[in-house]
Amino acid sequence: VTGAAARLLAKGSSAVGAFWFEPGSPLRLGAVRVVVGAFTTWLLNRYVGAWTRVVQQPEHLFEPVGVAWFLDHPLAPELYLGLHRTALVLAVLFTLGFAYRVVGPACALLSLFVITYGGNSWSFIFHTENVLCLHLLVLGFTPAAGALSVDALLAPRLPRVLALPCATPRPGPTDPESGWPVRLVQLCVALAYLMAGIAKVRAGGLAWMHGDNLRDQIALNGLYYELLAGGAKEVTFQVYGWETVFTVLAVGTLVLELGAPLALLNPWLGYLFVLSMIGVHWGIRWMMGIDFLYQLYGVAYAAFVPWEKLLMALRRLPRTLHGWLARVRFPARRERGEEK
Amino acid sequence: MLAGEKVVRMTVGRVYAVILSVGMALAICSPLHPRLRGVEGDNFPLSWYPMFSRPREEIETLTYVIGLEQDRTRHIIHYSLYSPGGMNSARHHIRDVARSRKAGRATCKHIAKGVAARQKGPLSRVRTVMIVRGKYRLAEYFGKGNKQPISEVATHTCTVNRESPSRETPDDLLHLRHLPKGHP
Repeated sequence: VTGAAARLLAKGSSAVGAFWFEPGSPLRLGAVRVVVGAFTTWLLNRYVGAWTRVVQQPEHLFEPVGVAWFLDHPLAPELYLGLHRTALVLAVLFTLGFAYRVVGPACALLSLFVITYGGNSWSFIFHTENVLCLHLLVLGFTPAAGALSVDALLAPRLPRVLALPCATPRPGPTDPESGWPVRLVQLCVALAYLMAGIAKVRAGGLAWMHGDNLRDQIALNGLYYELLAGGAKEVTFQVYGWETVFTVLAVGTLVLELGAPLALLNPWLGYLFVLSMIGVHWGIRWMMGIDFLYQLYGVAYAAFVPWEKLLMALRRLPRTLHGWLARVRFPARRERGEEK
Repeated sequence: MLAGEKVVRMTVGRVYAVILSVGMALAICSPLHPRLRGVEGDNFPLSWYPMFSRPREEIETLTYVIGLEQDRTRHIIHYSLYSPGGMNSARHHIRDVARSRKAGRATCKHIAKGVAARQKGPLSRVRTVMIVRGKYRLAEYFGKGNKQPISEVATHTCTVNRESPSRETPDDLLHLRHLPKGHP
């Protein structure tokens, strides 16, 4: 039995290894880096003013979490602003894929600190940028600038010493080091949803699927808007009595969250998962007015998109268009050509 | 080795990949253990996403700020007048502030000052600012449209002085159970 179990274990781990280390497209990994980097740049630019005001709140509201745990007192606002602006510059370089061996880890770590300190260490932990930070860490510490990057263009032309901080160019259609980072980016998304699903089942058991809890969460959020912002969305009042709809939504949410890891196993399951989750987040926005921007605009799911195929199709587009135009403009010539 | 079976050779790069992959996966799953959820019971970016999971109470208690006109007509004071963060941040802020006599007084004065600066709209008629703690039944509020609180207690009260800086009224605990125009 021990021998059979050992063989089964060896076979299982070999299958997991083959799945995880399947060569992937450097173009896809590069595209994920560009999309995530561009979003980070936009986000840091959007919140530079708001978070600089947040960090000037009274000290008793300062509750450091995550990588800011070591701080006993808030930082000077000027220092925070400097770090935020540096992170913004690094995010631009991260997107461009410039000097990536240095910029990648620096951008990931500094963005993590800035988002943790400015956005989440002042009496309330938001849950909107968690997956973004995880993705930055994965992309920052993996060879994500092997394609679609300044490094891929410059490194072969630079002297060896100057090329040291540059990422190694990966010109081939597939590469053994470009597959697993994409899978890891996907896994971060799937595990985050799995955690949310487990939390629901742990707190309320499978009774969470009745939908009462979901309805009450939406109503409570509406009450916050009523009493703090002067008015909830009209839809909050309209949907309160839709018991069957809430049951369907609760079951659907739990199935999607607990089943999220399956999205890694098959591309079509991945597409279905991505479209469903984008729908869930737009629903949350519609009913509760909460914007999970990273998920709402689909950026969180960038690793599920076959960018390499889309980029190839884009590259072929002029030739395809030219062919179509020729057929439309010179049908007679085409017919003559076919007769020949 | 069986025919067709793939063998994954362990290179330095692969060892790094395994460490990073397993490390990230374990870190993301770590909040499953209650002791690894951080001091506040949640953390960032490693969270167990408890926000939609906790069963809700039938009666919810909230702290918020209202403004009263001369004839006791009431208005909700927007959270942006007392917190530079978002609404959820403001909710925690005002709840914590209301518990402290000193911080509550300072915040109340700060809000009254902000209200006093308003020259147009309903806030320009507000004479009194109150930080209140109210209890609400969700089913009544959203199911039946009854927006009256079950009970409401003012923890801090300030007058809005448009001529000179605002001052706090001495009655810190003012029961508002029977306010004539109690619609938030």
